[in-house]
Amino acid sequence: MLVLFASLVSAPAAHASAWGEALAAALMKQALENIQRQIESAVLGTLKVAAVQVLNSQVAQSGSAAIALARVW
Amino acid sequence: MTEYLTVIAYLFANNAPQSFTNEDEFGAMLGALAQQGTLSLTSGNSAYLDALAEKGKNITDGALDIEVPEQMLSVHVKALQLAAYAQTLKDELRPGEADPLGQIATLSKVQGFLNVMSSFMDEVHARMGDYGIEEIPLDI
Repeated sequence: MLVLFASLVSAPAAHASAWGEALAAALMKQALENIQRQIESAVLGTLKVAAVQVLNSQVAQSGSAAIALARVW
Repeated sequence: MTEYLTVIAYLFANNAPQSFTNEDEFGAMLGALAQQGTLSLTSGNSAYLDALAEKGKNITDGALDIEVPEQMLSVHVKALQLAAYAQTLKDELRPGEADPLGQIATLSKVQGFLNVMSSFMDEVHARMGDYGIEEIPLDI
């Protein structure tokens, strides 16, 4: 994450004496927005994994309960 | 002010994850950085983030040794604070597939940090506008 901080300022060109501040700012803003979108996707994917784990856990518990009930009968 | 911006620019350029010589390459570098950084973050493979953190530390170490113009002092201090927080945040990023809820919590922290970063970048941009800075000088 420290590297996000590293995208704050422009960079050197071999033969140029200056870069447009507005363009550099726009590029960095775009990069940040890209990262935010990708992290949103990652959060959604991780939520699905969590949901599957919950479902698996409930199915396993239901199965155990059914077996216990069958043994009682 | 000019010398300050120049030194800062060189600090970042010399510690960038990929070298670049023009604005197109700079944009491509940022794109690759975003992609690989996110991949490293979500996959749990922290090697890329560790390398970036090392470069970030070089930048902050260098930024501590330069003379800061009074009008940029608050921005400079805030940037160093964000860098320090980013360093601590990186140490928390050890997600595992076995703990999706922990991973969501970690990613949420990263999202919060990105929002702060975005606001900070707007602040820097506005500050430069206030002082009529339209170009980042690259020659000392």
